[in-house]
Amino acid sequence: MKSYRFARRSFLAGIGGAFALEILLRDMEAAAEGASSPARMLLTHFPVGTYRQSYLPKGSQTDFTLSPILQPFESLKSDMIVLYGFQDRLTCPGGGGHEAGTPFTTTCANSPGTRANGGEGDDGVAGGPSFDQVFLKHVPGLKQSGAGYINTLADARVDSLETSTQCLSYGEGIPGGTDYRTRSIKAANPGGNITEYTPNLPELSPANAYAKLFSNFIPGGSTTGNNEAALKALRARKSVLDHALRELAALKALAPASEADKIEAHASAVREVEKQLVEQIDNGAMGGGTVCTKPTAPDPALKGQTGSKFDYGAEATATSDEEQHERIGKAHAAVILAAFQCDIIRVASSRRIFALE
Amino acid sequence: MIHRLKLPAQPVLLAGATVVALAFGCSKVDGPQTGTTPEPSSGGASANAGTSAAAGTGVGPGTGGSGACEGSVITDNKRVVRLSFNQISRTIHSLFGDTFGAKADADFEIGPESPTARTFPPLSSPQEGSTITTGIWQKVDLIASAAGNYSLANLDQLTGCGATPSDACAEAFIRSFAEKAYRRPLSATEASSILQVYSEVKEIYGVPEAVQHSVYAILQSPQLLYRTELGDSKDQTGPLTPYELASSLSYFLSDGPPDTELLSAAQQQKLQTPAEIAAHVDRILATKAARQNLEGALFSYFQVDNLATVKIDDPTFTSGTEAKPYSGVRESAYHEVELFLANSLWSGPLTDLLTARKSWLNTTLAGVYGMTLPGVSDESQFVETAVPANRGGLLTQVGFLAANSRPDVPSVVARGLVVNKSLLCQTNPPFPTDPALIAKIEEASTMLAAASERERAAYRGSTAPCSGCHRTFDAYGLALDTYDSIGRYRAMDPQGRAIDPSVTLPALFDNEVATDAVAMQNAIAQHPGFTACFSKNLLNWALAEGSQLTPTSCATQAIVGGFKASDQSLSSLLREIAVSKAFTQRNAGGTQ
Repeated sequence: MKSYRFARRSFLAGIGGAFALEILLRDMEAAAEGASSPARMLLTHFPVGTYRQSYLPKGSQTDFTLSPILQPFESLKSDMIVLYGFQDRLTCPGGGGHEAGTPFTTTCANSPGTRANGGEGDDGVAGGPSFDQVFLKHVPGLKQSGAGYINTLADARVDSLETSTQCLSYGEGIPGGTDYRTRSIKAANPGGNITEYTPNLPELSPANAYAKLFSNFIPGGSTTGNNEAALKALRARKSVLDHALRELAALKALAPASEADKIEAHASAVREVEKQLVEQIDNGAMGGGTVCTKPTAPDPALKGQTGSKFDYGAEATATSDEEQHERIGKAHAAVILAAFQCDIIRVASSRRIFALE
Repeated sequence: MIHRLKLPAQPVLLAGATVVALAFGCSKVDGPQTGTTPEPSSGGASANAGTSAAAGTGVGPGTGGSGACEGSVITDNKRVVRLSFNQISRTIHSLFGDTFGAKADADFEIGPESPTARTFPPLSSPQEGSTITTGIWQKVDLIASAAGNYSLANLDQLTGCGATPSDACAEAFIRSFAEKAYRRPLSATEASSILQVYSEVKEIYGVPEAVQHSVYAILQSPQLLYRTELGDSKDQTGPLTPYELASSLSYFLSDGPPDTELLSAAQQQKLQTPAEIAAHVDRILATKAARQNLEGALFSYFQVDNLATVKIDDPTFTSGTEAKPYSGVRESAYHEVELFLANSLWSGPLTDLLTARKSWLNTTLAGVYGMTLPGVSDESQFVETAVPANRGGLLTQVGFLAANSRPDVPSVVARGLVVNKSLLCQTNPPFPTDPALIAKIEEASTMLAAASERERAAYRGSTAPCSGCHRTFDAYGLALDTYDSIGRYRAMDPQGRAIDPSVTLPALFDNEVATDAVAMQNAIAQHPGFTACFSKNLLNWALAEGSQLTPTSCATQAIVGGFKASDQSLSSLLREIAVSKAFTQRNAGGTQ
């Protein structure tokens, strides 16, 4: 089923708490010593600007000296591209610096305007697919069947009505073509309707991210008992998805042509997962035998907050938000790392620090 | 910390806005101006009770529109409309009860407390959209799986079949459960499909797990996740089926699935005439669920949700605490609007929203309004009271005023834009992006730094290219300039200059003069554009996805006609929408 193995059979006892991250990191390092891993992509973002003079490298092209802020990435310098100055080259009518800047950074595309969401009217929309989706579609080996990627966020309270400052991923690739998902929305600026690359909204709950990624994963390697249990679970779930596909086909036959794309998008989402199930069933559930242990699900109570940004830092707040961000962010990271190690996904985006404005 | 309905602010009235170049003026009505073929407008529930809406004759000759109208009275093609996450939440509550419903709400953030619970129209939020994409499907799949797990853990309670159900009992439960979930009887094919899941999983595991996975399958079935508006034939324009209409009505009015009475009426073919539909509207509007839903919708409509996030540099605004939220103006103002809507929407004419001379205040707000509340000492107590002469209607309430202010000063432009757009459906221009124009604006701002708001507005109104647009909305903001950033009345600006609240209203009002904000609200309330705008937006709300309507669309005007012939209450407007062709009928959408 999976294309590579880790040297260690068991790398994780649980990822319910932050402590698991250190275990994961140690084991990832150990695994890296004896096994080659596939190409992966993790996109993260530190929002709301930085001190320009300490960020910009000196030099250009491949000949540059890292700035103090970028110094920790010295070992990656030969693989690094430092991009800046988007605001001078990209446009977003009405977009705020922070609000337009994030889609600029993740899509490198001009934006058609800002979202009419009742907020400040400067919520810049994505004018192209984000890098993670482009890579998923075009870089061989990055796309795994199933979820394909995950996008996580530790806190959604700032700006609570905006998408741009919360989302790093835009425009899922439409299977079988070169297109990405877009949609027409109401615009605060320039008004009327504009087409945005559909936000792939971040998951705030590590438990939900875990469920998305590990729901089809059967742990423990290719034992007879595991295979039997896995096959049962897979076939039962496939029965559920088959039902959905039958119903969607029936609905498509009844609906007019103008609704075909809508129904097909839904069916495509179901088929993607079903295809993964079929592959697993055909391979005898565990197939080649990924020998990573299914981690324990994170605590469902641990999840990023939503609501007004003015709740953040309010005097009445009983617990430190920074501590909460750290715990949620580490739990997200642990889920992503586990999913990388189990080769469930090879692409992820995650943001822990949130944009305080 | 804010006591709120948790309605994420969505601009209510931006649907179909059309960009108008600054230099060409801004008098355009919100929405596309397509189609010019007038059709008979509606007499609706008021004029035509008893005729058959389902047959397309329930709407009669025009009674209140302003003459010519654009487009057809039937606005949308046959379609499938996905349920919003709040509607999925309400559906889950109805299927499983509140214990699992509340757990699903909390675990998946889908209930009325979710920040994304309400947008206007319902699917316009970035978190929703009209299509079930991979991300939305994954969330739905998780919810459905959790529902299946709950069913397995509560098998007897849910099925009434005991811990080890017989096939007959389990299958009867599944059929019944699917009918309730799909909100209509199952076709033979649908029954066969869901029972196929049952038999396949039974072979793998056994009966309990077969029930579990059947419930899982039903919860993520498109028959639950969408409500269809297809009628009997996709190839012909015509009415929704009775069951489709039952679902559309219920999700429109209460955001939840149809109740037993509606389903029974559909089954008995008693959801055909305007009178039959109107009777159910009246019944549903008397329920708490419908009232909360529609009060929430109107809360978003007036953009008071912005209050939750607006930043105001006044310590009294943010002095509320978890223990004493209503010691702060922000929380108090929020609750005032909630109470005002709850007490004003269901009695009296719609225009009371702009003209009512009473409100529901606590001591915190009384201080802002410059009045006292005899006998009231606890800020948590809100009492009905007459408001001072300089107040009246929503636009002079702290909630609206503060939500449309800058941190340190009120904003003439922001307040004017909201009135222009939200109450009159006029197109607001985009802020210019031409660098040369922006430089001119900055230059003017510097030049006018010490000027009064009225002087600034006079400059904008007389200097091209600003005048093309600002003349169409600045007056509304100027009339409201006597209220500071938290809505406190002021006769002088911070520089000690007297503020004159009298304004000459824009051309839309034939340059009528309003002496102050109260007079301005009265003028807006009496203007036919207000009723048409309100009707257009509520029809958009009812249609969920936001149709390309304008106040002068024939679909809108048909509703306005019926509304004018009624007592002109919100309930009547909702009734007119519910019986309108725009709501009850669909155009053919093309064959595949």
